[in-house]
Amino acid sequence: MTRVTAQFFGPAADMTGCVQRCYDLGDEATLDEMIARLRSDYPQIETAAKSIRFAVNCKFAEPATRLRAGDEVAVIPPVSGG
Amino acid sequence: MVELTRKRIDPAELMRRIKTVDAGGVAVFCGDVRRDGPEENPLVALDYSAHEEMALEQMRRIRERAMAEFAVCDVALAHRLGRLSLGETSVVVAVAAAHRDAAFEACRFVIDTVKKDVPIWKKEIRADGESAWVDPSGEP
Repeated sequence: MTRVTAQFFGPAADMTGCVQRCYDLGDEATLDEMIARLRSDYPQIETAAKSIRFAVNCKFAEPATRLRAGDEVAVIPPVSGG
Repeated sequence: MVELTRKRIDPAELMRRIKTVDAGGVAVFCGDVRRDGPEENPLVALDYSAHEEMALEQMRRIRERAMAEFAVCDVALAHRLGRLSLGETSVVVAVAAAHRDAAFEACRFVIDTVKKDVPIWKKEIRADGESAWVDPSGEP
């Protein structure tokens, strides 16, 4: 089992009503699976899917990224800094 | 240097920190909160928030890339968080280089990349008190 933390920022926190929660994934979990769980739990993320990026431990990550226990997966909606 | 702060950013201070006698010039970009309509319900403030740990890391990476890809002496980047009123400065990029071409180009590169890849979000606050996240797809 791989326990990871999902973190929601900016509009994603408002959309989901959540800033942080834990997920228990399988042993060989990838970011892909985490994204699928998030989309299923939060239809708003499903809708905004194309424009949302994900980061693992503060780095933008590809869907095939392996997740390890204790990893932090951040849901990053389109940024608007500057 | 890179900095995330809740205090007022002083562009002159950033310039002072990076100026050296090897630099023939310093290019500076200041991003400010500007007026926006409609007249009956104008913008009064922007509220900036971030994934702070990641924002700082991304800002450091952007600075490193600018130092590696352009012939510059130093780069300073500061972004402010929290509620900012009209005219207040949200971001400052300062680049010192021997020659102005590299200074201008690196400065442009840094601000463009900040706006694309740093996890910071802003909310518009209007005179009637309503707020809405900014959709960046509408911005130049």
